[in-house]
Amino acid sequence: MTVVDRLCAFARGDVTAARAVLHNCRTAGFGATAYGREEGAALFRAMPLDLNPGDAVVSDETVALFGNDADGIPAALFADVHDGQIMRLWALGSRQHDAGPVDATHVPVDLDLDQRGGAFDVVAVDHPALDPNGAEALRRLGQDWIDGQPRDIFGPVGRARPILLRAASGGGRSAALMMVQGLTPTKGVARFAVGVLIGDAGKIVVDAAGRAAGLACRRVVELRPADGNGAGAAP
Amino acid sequence: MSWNADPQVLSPVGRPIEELLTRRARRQSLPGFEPVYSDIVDYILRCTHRIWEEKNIGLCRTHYAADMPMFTPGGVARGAEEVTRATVTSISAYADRSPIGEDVIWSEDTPGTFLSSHRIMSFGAHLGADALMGPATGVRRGVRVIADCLCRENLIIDEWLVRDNLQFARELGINPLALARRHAAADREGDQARHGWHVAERVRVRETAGVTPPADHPAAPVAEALRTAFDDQLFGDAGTAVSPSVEAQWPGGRHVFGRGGWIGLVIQLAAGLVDTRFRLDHYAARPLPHGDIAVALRWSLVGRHGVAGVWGAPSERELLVFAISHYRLRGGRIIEDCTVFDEIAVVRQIEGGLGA
Repeated sequence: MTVVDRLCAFARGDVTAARAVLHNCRTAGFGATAYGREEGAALFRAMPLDLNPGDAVVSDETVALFGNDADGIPAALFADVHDGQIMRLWALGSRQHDAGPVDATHVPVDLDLDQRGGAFDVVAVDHPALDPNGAEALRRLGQDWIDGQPRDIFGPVGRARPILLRAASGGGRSAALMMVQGLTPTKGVARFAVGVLIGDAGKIVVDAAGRAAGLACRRVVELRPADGNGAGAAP
Repeated sequence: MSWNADPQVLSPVGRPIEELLTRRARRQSLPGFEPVYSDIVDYILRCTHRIWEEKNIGLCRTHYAADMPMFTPGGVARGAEEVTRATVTSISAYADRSPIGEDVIWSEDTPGTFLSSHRIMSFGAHLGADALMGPATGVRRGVRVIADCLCRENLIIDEWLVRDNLQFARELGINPLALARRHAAADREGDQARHGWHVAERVRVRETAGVTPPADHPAAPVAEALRTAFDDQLFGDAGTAVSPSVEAQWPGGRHVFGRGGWIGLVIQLAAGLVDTRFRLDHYAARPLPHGDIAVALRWSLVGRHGVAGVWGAPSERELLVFAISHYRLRGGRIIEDCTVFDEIAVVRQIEGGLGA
């Protein structure tokens, strides 16, 4: 089996494919984080994805797959790979795993570091498997989002800024995993992953489950609040 | 020795546990180490497995020096016997403890003397009483740990251990402020000499110079970034060491992306402290797959808690933040940052514990 085949099988909930998943693989998906083979397999058994190997974008370091979830809603899977082993996974989709939010310490962030506005960076050395055409297409797309901020993708998130986490080209296509961050009116910085496929029909898949989970997470702004009980009100 | 000497000693990153635990022939000079260990990475991973998973806890006596110190932000354990006892207690509290290794970044500072930095996600069900977390909660969660060990002739002769205890408490459903206050109250009772290490360490970090990597060492720009941030408050300049694609995970569930996010982390840590001093105690680097480089830094901050911030109203106490960071570098810049420090220990100091 190729690593693409194994990923498609694993994402369908096929545990026999789990051997290619590293014992310390982190899976972020469905609004939750799973660690290792068994936890990752359990997530996909509960929320299988039907991915199309024909859309795969494969490099030495990454694999990107696109398809649908069990409800027919667009989904995507990004993997860090090495020697056929799956090191890390991001599953983007709409179904949310009912793990419950865990408190996290809020970090105030300046998304732009410049009042002239943010620019969308595609740094070649960070993404050596991304070809120049793919890089240019991503640069235009990311900047369009910053400038135009289409509401159908970003919804109520204001001042959205995409960050390119993974990008690669292969088979005449390019794929990218972005983290879109924005300042919400009441929750501080919110973020969610977006998967982009450039070429052929092109696709944009939003991790709606991650966005919902992130907005539900209670952000602790003060570890020793004045109310004395460590509740630390969220913004 | 060069940071990338012994290229046959591979990083565990990207390698399955089945391969990592398969016995192999010695492939690195390890004078005085047991024959079962093939190299220093194998020594760290395998002895952790033998002690914590195979439950041969008595092996601590052949793997820890009789009088070695184990420094943690919550206190110091001394000697193989105390480490053995503490390990038995810990495993009784988390019987299915699984220390999942993520990386071992090491250096051989003098021939036969190694310093390893072992990043772990430690999972276990809290089914017994734990010295820090208290009575069993029944919850199974993971906590990120980094353990730096100075090793010679099969023995760990110094260890520095940091654990994200604050987030672990949250995951177990324990109020971290209440936990810190309870331990601070206990700290203020009894013989205060037991906090001598903390008292001395705050002085050492403030008054003595740390180490500086040579300019051609991969750790150099990273160490300089932290120094520039914490000593000079030039956070923007520090951020130039960071890729715009950076992902950073710091304690307390802090998970940020991008240069602005990384700068935000550092500023938040610095913001509550006045007259801050940064000290680097150790650095190491090793090759990773795909041409990336792993860097480990062990560092400390001292400062007076004199400003309101994430730690609440100022306590005016001198605080010690003791941290270990693991980075992945690509093209000479940080693209991943995993930093661990014990924020329960920080709040404990603020609340008057640990000799603060």
